[in-house]
Amino acid sequence: MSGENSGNSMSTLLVIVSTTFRQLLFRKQIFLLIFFMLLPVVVALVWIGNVKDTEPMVFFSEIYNNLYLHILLLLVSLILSVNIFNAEFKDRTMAYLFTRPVPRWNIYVGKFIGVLLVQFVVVLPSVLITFWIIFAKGGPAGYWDDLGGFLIVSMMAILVYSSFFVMLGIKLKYPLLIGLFVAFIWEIVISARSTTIAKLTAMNHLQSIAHGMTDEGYFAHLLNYGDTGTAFIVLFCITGAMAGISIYFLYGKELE
Amino acid sequence: MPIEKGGYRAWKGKTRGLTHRIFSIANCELRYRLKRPAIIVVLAILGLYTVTTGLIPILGNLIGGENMFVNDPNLYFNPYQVPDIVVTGVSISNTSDTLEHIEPGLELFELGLEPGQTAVYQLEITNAGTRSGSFKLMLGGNSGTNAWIIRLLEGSIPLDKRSENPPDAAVDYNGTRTRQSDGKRQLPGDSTEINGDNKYGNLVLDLDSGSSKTISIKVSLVEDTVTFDTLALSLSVSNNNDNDWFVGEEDIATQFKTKVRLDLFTKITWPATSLKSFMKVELTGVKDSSGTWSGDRIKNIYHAPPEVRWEDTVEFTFRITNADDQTVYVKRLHDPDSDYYRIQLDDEFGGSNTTYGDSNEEEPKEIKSDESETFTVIVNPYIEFKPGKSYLQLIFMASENEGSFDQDIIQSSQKGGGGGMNLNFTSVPYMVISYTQPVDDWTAEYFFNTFYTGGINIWVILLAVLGGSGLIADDRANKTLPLYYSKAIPKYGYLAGKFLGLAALIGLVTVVWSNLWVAIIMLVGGFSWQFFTSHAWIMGAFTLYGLIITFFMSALVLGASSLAKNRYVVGASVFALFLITAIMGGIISAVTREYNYLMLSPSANFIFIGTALFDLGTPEVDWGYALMTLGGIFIFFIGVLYWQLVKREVSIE
Amino acid sequence: MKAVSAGPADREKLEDGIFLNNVSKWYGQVMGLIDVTAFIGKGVTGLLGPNGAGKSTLIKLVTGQIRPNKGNITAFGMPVWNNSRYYRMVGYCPEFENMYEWLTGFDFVNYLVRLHGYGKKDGEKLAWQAIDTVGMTKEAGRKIATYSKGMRQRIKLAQAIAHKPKILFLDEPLAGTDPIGRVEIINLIRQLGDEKSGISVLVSSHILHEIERMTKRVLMVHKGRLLAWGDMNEIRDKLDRFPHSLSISSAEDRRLAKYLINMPEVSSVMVDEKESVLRVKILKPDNFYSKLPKILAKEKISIDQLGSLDEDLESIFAYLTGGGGGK
Repeated sequence: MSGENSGNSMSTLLVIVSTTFRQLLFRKQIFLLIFFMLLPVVVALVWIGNVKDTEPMVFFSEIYNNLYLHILLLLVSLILSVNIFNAEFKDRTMAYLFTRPVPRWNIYVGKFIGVLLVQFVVVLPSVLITFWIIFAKGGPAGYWDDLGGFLIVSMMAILVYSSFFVMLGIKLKYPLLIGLFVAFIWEIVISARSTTIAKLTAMNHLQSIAHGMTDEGYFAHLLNYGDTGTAFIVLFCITGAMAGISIYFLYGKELE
Repeated sequence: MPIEKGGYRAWKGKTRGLTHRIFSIANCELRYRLKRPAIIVVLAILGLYTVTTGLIPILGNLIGGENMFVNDPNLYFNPYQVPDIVVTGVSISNTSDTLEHIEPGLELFELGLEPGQTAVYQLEITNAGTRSGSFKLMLGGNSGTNAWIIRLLEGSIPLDKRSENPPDAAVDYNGTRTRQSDGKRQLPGDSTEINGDNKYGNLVLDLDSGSSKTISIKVSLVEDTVTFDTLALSLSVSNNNDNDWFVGEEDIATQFKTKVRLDLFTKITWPATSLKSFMKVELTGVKDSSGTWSGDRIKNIYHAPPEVRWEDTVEFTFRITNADDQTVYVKRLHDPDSDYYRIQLDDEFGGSNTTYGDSNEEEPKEIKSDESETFTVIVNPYIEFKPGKSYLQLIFMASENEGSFDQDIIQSSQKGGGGGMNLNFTSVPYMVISYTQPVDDWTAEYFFNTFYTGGINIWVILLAVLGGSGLIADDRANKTLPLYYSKAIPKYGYLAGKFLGLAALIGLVTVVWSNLWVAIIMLVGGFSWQFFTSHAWIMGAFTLYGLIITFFMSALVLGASSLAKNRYVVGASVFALFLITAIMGGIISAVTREYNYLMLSPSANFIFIGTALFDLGTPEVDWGYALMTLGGIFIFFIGVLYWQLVKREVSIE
Repeated sequence: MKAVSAGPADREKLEDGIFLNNVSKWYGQVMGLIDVTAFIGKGVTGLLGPNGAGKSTLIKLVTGQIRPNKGNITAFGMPVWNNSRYYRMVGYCPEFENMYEWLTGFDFVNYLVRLHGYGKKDGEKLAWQAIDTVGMTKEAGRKIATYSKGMRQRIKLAQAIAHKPKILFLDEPLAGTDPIGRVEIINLIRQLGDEKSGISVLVSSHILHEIERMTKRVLMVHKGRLLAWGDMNEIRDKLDRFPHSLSISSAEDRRLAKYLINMPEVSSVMVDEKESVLRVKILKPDNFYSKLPKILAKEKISIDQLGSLDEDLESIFAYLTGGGGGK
């Protein structure tokens, strides 16, 4: 066999996806993230042991907004996404990938999908378990539809934040500072403003989607929300833009 | 260089000790970190932020004289003008020329006043602050009738002028001409006729720092009014230029940032007055919680001693003598022990701010001609209302017919006619002098809340993360631990050096800069040296608090750094820890209704400790427990460090 | 020393290898490479130079990891930068040790070979072949994090050759290897670079005698410049201003010295009594070698040994970089 072959991009993509998935999922730091994702479960357990007169949906939506949306999703995304390229540039192991007959966009997509899958594996079960615990005391059956809404919001959050943090990791040498600023100041503080400026944050659009997908609870009573469909479009556009920028950076990247 | 030419020679000089080597590591780490742009940026922002947030509110006062943050609930501190009130004396005309010295405090000051008498309260207002300024005084109060003439005057009223009560007066004692219009008494200033809640006077005093001025409050109970009424006065002093004055305590508290409230209040006194010529009513005995009184002590006025509290009962014994030539029947109209004890009487002018309670009639007693009967009344004067808001009326009715006690008779008896009789338990204007604390010193709270918003400054956390997350993680990642361990320094020495390096970086902000900042704010803000020295303890509190933060954050970040090889993971995790624990603590605490769960959050623990250290009140959780919690976390991470770096074999793979 | 340029040999065309055309690369104020023109054709080419000479920069340029600031690089007629077709033909063994530590040796090689588009079975087969070739069969199931330096080097080499590349770039391939391993790798490189295989191999090293054992063809760089290119001996021959040094051992060394000193091709003769040899510096080696046997025959002088003292890379390099040569 010579060095020339069919160069099937789908198969190489799958190879990169699977290797990235293994890389992220089977490392020690995943335990830290799993620990963080168990905290809402703990809160849910405390709640059912002390439940007073709060409606399950109200409580779950508060937990979801305060813990998941405002901290955990951002944290998990930041830790996992910012490193998938940045660490390889620092370690110089990216040279192995760049000297393969794999287009750089292919490398980006493969790693990006891999990191998304890991986050889905870590985050979504936590949301599911927390929801189930809170509603295990016999919440109305209709609320199970809302679970789908929360899962979708979670996936959208993972998608859009990961795309941004991956881009940071590609471009910047020290992306943590900017990542922390965006995650814990821009997204949390600015989105809390009840003005137009809040719409510049992904958080606001995620909350808008949650508003459109739930009938009760925190999100149902949001004051500053937008149209659900528009929010989806905006988030997909952000993701696409970040992906495009990332690939552009990647194509210009030199391995010093 | 060949070895034999001195290129390699055993060192024969002295080497420094372990401490020096530890400090070498700390020094190296600190210097390196202070050169990093990210840390320089954070330090710059932190400095700018603290100076700006600390100085702007104060400079606002400095520049405009107006407090532009007057509605800012976070602005507690106005050290420039601090009013203080001291009552230097009270006198009652026609009774005594002696000034009674009133001790300031929260005790009620009781003053009895009879119709036709005048009480003069002399007070001294002092500017105990650091700057000269104007103080606005407002005398407000509440009464049921227009039986009063109240004047708020600057200066003291001469003894010979105290009983003067010129309703048509043209001249006040301080020489201000007053107008009279519409037959109504016109009071100086913004005050109006008194009836219900009112403002009795406004006065503006210009006071230099440390100087005092005397004011007088003159209260006259005129004779041609109803025989009973109550008057409650309150004096408020403020350096706030806001023109909204409120009488209610809560309103004053929220509107005026520096406020002294002086409620002038006397206990209920009463003269016994008989309206019916054939009936004579005498008060023969009073029994209260402090003792039993009779004779001159209760001749015209009963002053309850200070020991008698709001909720105490007083037992009055009356003797009613029938001077008529026929037998009359007398009964007490109202039972003061009933649930509907509180009542107010309609005044003669038709004003109606009263609520009639239930009348629980007793059996009438027969009093034959020239004979007397004793009636005992148990009174709780202060049920439901504090003095000033209500008064008590006891009515005895007399009738020639045993079974008929006509309401009309009662009313008409007020004018002296009719078949009934009223014994009015007249509560005269009572004024209570009570003090709130003359100066609410918000200094410590201001400094603490400005520098450490939320218990621990976000920039301090950021600094700790930026400076410390890679301290050990990078050594693990780059496999440089063996380089340290192969030197003449023990493992715990390496650990101590790293710890000290990070602690020095954090301490630069929490200990050094915080104290410098306090000094800068005080100096640039224009406070006096005395003020500075009297509040110097705040710097000590900052030092101690800063040390707690420093050691805690150093252990936390360093411990986390020893657990990972990726500084990003460490940094993000430390941030997340603070956020998540704060939220979780709040949620679980709210769910279980137990404050102790707030201790899950390190930030909350810092708030509890700070509240105690800076004397800001009583924290929800005892500061000792909070300190123990932080101490436990500190020890845990020190243990982690020890295990990871000292105890375990260090692998370079 | 003025930089030379190394073009393709007469029978080689630019499309048969990698051509650097006036390439320069700088990193801020630091010059990585300056005006390098070189051709890397079939067979093994040694890239020689001290630390910081620009060897790694050159390799990064030809592997498309960085772009030149000036000039251009073509490989087999194609541009190098971001060219998937080119990368199909490239095998790269980097100098640094970092790899995917969490993977086993086999997983690592397999992963990278599959990025060439091979299916699962083909990829595994190729991976095992490469691992066998480098002698890592037993350790392939262990995580790379547990490997020694030499093992890492072998695995790196395995991933570089697994997909049967047309051109191999080996950056310090012998670093960290034991003596036996070194021999094995050198032999492997020589096999790969065999003229019949049609593979171009560029091997970089700063250890000159290792290069000598692999190839006679070298590219010499120093301070970012290309000092010389080509066959080692040819280069040496071109260095006329530096006399060649010879050592001759003979029983009649003094008598021989008398005759040698009179030869115009000889610049100096020194008797090394310790080692019982004559150290001779000659200016024109060809003439000298043609005359020497005649003198020996005529005067009936026998010599026991004749050896060149500076026809090794170290001497050449030393001459080229301004130092003296010979031992």
